[in-house]
Amino acid sequence: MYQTEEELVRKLQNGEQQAFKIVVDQYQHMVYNTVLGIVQNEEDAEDITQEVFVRVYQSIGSFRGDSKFSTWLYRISIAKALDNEKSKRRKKRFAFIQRLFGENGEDQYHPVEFNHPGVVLDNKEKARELFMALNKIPDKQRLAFTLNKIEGLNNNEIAEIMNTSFYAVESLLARAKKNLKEQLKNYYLQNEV
Amino acid sequence: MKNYKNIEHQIENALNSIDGIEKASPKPYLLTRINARLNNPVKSAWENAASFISKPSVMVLGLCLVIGVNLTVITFNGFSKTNTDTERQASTFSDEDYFSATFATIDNFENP
Repeated sequence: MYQTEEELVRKLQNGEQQAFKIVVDQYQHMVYNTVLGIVQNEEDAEDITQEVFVRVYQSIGSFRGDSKFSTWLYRISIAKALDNEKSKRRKKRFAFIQRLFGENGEDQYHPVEFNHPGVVLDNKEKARELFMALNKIPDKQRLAFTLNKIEGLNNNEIAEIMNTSFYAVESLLARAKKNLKEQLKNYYLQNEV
Repeated sequence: MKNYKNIEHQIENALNSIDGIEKASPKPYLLTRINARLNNPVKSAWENAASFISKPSVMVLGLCLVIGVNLTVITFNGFSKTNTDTERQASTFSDEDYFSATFATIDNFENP
């Protein structure tokens, strides 16, 4: 049975287990795909998706309804995914130090090429190169690009999630594309297409 | 020139490669796994730190470190105390010498 966001939130705040089940069913793809686009690893995305829903369950009481429930959910997903990225970068730095002391820690945290399961077979290789380039542009640009291209959100929706203006999103998307082109150009020049 | 055009073409292809991307799905039984997590919460960073500190090996190491630091401080304090005594003695001698020299000068002046 379809329920509006307001109804679901109210029931969730009243501690109804059935409402939580509906929330998970209804929003799992949204959360999983957003996180997957950022962390580019299916296992990590799975783990973070679970964390996001645990957080929703635990802190639904603090949700005041200032924004849409889905916006709140997007924000939690993005925050958790970016936390994971930071933690990975820290581990990578630590692995570098380990390597300096003779231990082979680098390989463990070396990013592997990412194949998004939703990309059609013909585009797999090109998408892999694009995701690699995405990792090299600033976080905000990457977020705007991911929300636009993978989640299919428009600039207004992205602006609400990122707590910024429509024009700022427009600018972020333009800079993301410019930087991606530069990264891809460098990649193709180095790899001789 | 041809190579440059080819690169431009490749870039456009890459940028358009995720157009119409399909939604990926998480593994089945997500709700069951979330409920399992809710029933067995993951420890927070503080809890992890507390359990690490309370490990016997870490405690013994910490205790040894504290004792070591204390011994070092005591040893150095004793050493510097000896040095201070020597310095004080030297200073006393020099003061006495100064006074005796001064009195000798006045004495010489009054009783030439």
